[in-house]
Amino acid sequence: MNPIVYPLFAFIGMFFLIILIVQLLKRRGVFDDSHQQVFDRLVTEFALPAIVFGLLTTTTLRAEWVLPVLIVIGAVLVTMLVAWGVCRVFKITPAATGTIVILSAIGSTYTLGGPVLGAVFGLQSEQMALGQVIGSFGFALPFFTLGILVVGYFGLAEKGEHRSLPAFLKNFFTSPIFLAFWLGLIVSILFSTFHFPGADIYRDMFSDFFEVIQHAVNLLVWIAIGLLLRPVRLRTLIPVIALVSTMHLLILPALVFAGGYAVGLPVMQLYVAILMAALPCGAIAAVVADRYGCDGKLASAIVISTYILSLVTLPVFMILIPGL
Amino acid sequence: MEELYPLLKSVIIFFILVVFIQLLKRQGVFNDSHQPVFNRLVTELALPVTIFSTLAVANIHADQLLSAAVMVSTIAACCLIAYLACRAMKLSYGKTGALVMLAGIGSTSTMAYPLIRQTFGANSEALALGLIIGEFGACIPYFIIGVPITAWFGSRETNEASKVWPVIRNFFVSPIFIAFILGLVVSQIPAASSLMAGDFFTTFFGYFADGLEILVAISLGLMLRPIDLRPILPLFLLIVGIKLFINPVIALFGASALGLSGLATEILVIESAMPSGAIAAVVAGRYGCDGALASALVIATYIVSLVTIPIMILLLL
Repeated sequence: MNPIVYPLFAFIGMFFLIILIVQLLKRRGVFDDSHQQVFDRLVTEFALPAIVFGLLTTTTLRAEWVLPVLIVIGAVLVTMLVAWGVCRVFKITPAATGTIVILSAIGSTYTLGGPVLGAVFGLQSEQMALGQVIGSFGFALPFFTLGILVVGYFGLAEKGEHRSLPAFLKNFFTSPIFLAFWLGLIVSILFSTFHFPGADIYRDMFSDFFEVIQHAVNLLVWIAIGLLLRPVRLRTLIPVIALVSTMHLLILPALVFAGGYAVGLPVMQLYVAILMAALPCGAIAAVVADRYGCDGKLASAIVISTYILSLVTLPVFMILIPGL
Repeated sequence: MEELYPLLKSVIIFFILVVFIQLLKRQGVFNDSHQPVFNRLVTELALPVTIFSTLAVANIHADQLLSAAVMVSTIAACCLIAYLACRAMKLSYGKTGALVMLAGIGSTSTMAYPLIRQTFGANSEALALGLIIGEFGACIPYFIIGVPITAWFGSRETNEASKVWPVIRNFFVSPIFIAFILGLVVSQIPAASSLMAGDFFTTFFGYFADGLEILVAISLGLMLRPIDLRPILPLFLLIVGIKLFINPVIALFGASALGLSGLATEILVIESAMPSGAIAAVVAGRYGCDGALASALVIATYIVSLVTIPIMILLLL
């Protein structure tokens, strides 16, 4: 059996089980719609900054891995641009545009990337380490900088709020995710490049702290997705899912392949980069989109749909990639 | 001293989490209305799943149950001492309910298990014994007896229901109790127990166990409010005295009287010396007792335990 099949089915099975439990608790009255905002904020203003900071300070970017990271960043930016262009052509609302743009480019690299790479290559493998680097720098870097800016912009546009550029940027530059990102990057550079004293103490004490939060993130994000899930009109949903699925599950990995092939990326690096790009749309990205005023219920429907579709597309990629 | 390092780390991590939540609350990310959501998430989702998953795969032996019985007796004795002290001080029902539970119930899951695992190893006999003592000696008695007692005190405080039976009946249909019964049933069916011990369910339940610590920290962080220092000082001294000093001494006495092994005695003393359980504060708030006082005392016992745990371990072991 394809090594990706069992972890993928198991992970997605658990995801659906937890969504189902959240929906049942919602019907029992444990949750109501007003709690959605609490979980959105919990994820975006507590858990995500901690993850971002923890990941950056414990991930070492080797010189030979810069190229695959740059290729992934390029593919993410092109995908966002193409998705935005399509939304403009079809005159889609700003909230839905923000959701489509971010979910077309950002995948479940943090939540699903680890289990998939670990199952295929082993938890201590070189591929696993490269996957973490691609996840942190290839996807998280554009997501936590440009991505937040994009969803923030479209969220405001949906509300009809016209804020001045300096005020908008000030809000963005003081957001917890952004601050955590740059702070994490600075600490990482200080420790890894300049061998700043205190790295051992930091790793010993604070890596455990961030680990506790990281371990809880899946549950928090899935609860948020479960609360976001509401009925969406099929007539609206089907074309959007078709668009995002095509962008995220086909065009994004194809762009990564094209870029990697063009620059002659080693097979292992190309393999890992494509696999990371082929993961379904990001559950965290959906929660962030909702938090910043984009279309949350559409985002949750897209995430669930691409999770189901990836049960077919990911194993197919796994079969195709070795023959490339 | 090296053995205590993981414990100190756990305490500091828990503190930082609570401080983070308090900061977010001050920034307006959370407010008081969010607290019940997290309380219910703990008591109706994460905790029941964790109880079920622990029990469903547990192997229970008679000699382990004897150690657990010592733990139950120790907790009961401490709760009784706290109750008598509260009566003597003429405290309200809400405060009494919170204090009685804090005097007996310790942070077995959040602090004792990581410490034992770190000290003796993940697959050690000590950890298995620690889990049996913790679950059968503290968690299960707490949820079967402690929660209805807390609810009874809470109902007397709020005057919402003066009879105990509705509270007990509610508990018997609560997710915690259902999880407990289901876990016990599954543990007695080898095929079902093996299924629950498989990769899929271990990972699945792991998400809830991982989330539990954060959810408890959030509940506690949201529960913390400014509190008058004068009434809390004697109560703080009372809880510190009973929970952090008398509790491990009684456990040692019980273990010696029954001639338990050195390992069982060690585990009993470690688990008894833990600070008051955060879950007891969450449940106290949930059932109408003085949640703010309980959470303040939990934090206080965590701070003091940094000093008392090494002292008690050095003195008693």
